[in-house]
Amino acid sequence: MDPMEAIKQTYFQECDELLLAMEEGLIAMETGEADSETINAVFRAVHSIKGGGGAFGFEILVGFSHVFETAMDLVRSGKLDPTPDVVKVLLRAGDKLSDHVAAARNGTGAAVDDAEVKAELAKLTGEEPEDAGAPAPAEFEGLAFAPVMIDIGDEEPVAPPCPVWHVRFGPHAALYAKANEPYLLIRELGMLGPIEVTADLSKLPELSALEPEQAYFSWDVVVRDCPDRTKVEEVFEFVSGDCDLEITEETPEPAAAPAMISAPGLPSLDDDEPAAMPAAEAQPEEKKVATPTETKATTVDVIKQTIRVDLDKVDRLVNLVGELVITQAMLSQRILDSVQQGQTVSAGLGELEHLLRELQEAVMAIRTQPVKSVFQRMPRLVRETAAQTGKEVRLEIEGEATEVDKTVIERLGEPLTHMIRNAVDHGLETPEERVAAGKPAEGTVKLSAEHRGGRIVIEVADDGRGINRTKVRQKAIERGLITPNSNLSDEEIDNLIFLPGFSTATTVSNISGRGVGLDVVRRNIMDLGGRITIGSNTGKGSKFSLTLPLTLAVLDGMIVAVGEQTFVLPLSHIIESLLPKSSDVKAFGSNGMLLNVRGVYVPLVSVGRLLRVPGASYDLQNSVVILVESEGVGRMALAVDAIVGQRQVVIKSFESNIGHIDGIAAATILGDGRVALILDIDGLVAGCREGTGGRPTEYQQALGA
Amino acid sequence: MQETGENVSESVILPAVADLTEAGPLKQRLEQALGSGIGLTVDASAVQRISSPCLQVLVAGMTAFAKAGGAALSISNPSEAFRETATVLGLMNALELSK
Repeated sequence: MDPMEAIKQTYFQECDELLLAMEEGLIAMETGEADSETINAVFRAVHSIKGGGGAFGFEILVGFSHVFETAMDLVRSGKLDPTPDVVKVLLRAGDKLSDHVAAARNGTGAAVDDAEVKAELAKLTGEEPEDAGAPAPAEFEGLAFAPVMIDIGDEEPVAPPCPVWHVRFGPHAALYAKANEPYLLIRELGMLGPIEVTADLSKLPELSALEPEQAYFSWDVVVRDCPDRTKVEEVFEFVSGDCDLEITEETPEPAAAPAMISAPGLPSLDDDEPAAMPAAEAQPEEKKVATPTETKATTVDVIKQTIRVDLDKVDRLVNLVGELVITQAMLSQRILDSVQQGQTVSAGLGELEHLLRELQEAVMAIRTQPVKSVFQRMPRLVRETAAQTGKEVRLEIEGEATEVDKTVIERLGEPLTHMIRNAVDHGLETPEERVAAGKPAEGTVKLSAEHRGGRIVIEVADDGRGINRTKVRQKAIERGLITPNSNLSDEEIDNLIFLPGFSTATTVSNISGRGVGLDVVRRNIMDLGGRITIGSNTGKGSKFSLTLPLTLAVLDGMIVAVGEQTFVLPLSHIIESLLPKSSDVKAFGSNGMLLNVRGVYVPLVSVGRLLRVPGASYDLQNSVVILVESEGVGRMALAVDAIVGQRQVVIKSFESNIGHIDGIAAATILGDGRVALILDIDGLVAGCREGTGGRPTEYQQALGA
Repeated sequence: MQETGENVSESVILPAVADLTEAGPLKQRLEQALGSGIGLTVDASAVQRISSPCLQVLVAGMTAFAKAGGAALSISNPSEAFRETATVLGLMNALELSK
């Protein structure tokens, strides 16, 4: 990758993080939990996106973020009160900014329609909408872009003997060209501690010789009471390529400063000017915080050190550790086989196994991420869907720190989007209906995540009208999904909404209601080895629960023997296993088989026959039947020769080497070193449906005997 | 400040957002006034944001008018934002504004 491209990549990664921080801050502002540090963080996020964008020449992005930044700056300095209406505009601006970043990333450029939001922002800032002065980043100045860490407000207790920083700051013309402004930078210095500013006008030429866009001024700023040099440096982080900067430390002596303007002396000018205040604590925003300490506890995250590592490298590590676990198992098997009285050996082997398990868990944990990255996208979705449907919705998020494997996170977005939309569009009533039903006009959608028994459970709950079972049933009959006289439990009726092509929406809206929602959700979840269940309480709301494995690299499986082969069935698909009586097996049609499971007939298929495994027993008397749930076809009974056990297996994908094989999901290596295939239940069931044409099954023979 | 009569002073209004692009036109306006020998009052009451390049032009203008003698350049009714920016940047004296 060419170096420029790599830097750009980093920029976009930074953007993702900054956008998240921004969104988080804006939501805190919306709920009234924001303190000045939060508002600052939002400002810095927008500012950083603008700065980096300028370095790469994303003019449209820079233009928009500039307007946004101006508005945020007014909020930050207390000139613009963050009323709910203002925050709403800011939130929408945040959404647009994400769009701009996405557009810049895809290289589509001008595709974002931001005129309306821009106009609203301009209204807030009092600028004319078509801001002629929208700054165009002039040219790319070397590697001016530097990744900027967001300041999460690690306010250290101030140590008494504070150094005095002498900052000499001389902007270049490029700094102005990129719409940066010394005033803002120096004001930011003023937030670190009391400052004394002296402007150096010596380079200013005669008016006639003055180039309007050149930089002539430079400044000497003395910063007191700031213990941390890096804080001073951070202020200039973004302009470091576009100015001369010299930060020196002075011994704390009473600095004689003739003609210097001391910031603390200014309050007479203006009583709500943060820049003029001696320290950040005195900022007006702080007034909005009821209990500052409490808010800090929630908004100030502990800064953790992180590094970026290529996913490939991590995967290689995961793979190697997997191999190590297998080798260890093999080795201990062989040692124990050959050494009969190996007490000490077996203790050592036990220890080794224990350590390896821990190592494996630690390595797997590298791939995990908090679900936050997915959950963060949902507030916007709720806002947009609510606006489109004219409903009032509040989104509550819980457990966003819950960690799960990266691949799971990546594939969680789509199903969650569907479910949240569904909850807002179908689940919640209109404000009028809600009031009529004696509920608050504002509906609540609750999104939560937690670890439960080695899996992650994600719930989407709404306090809407619940599932209208009569309507669902009627619809299912209309669509021929069930017969009019079928007798279904409430739970079964609820589950009908997962069937392909089902939709109860009387009109098709562009949000949901095309009947492609929930069956897609279910398929996605099942692809991830998860399950989805639904609970509904008429008039009180409904709740979707997703249960997902924490990782896709390890799988809980049931090891079964079929003939000479060993197979692994994913535990997530298995409902129960049973030993059938021959009286429970009924022939169906000319070649199908049905198994009577407590009064319900399910199709019965022999794995050995289906995969033509040599040596498989076709005698039902010697078979074990495993009842599985598959997507689309529903329940199904698989006959195998024997159940060997249940254990965690490391998934070895062979799609990259061999390609896709119907009915087989992947392979694994067992403790004894043998390779076992992991069955893809859905593929298997689908394949068996197609393959049952005209051949008599051995089961029939078995039955006939 | 300009008490003498009608034609001795002209005035120019600074826009709400006096950013980089305003510096050029502002300079021209000052030079024009300087050339004609008429005093100029810069009305800064509408300013919400003023960039350093514009302030550079104003400070240079102050010096130029002072050097030329006679007509003066003055800033009238500076808005809070204008004063705040000039204060933070340590330019109040150079712009002949009282604190």
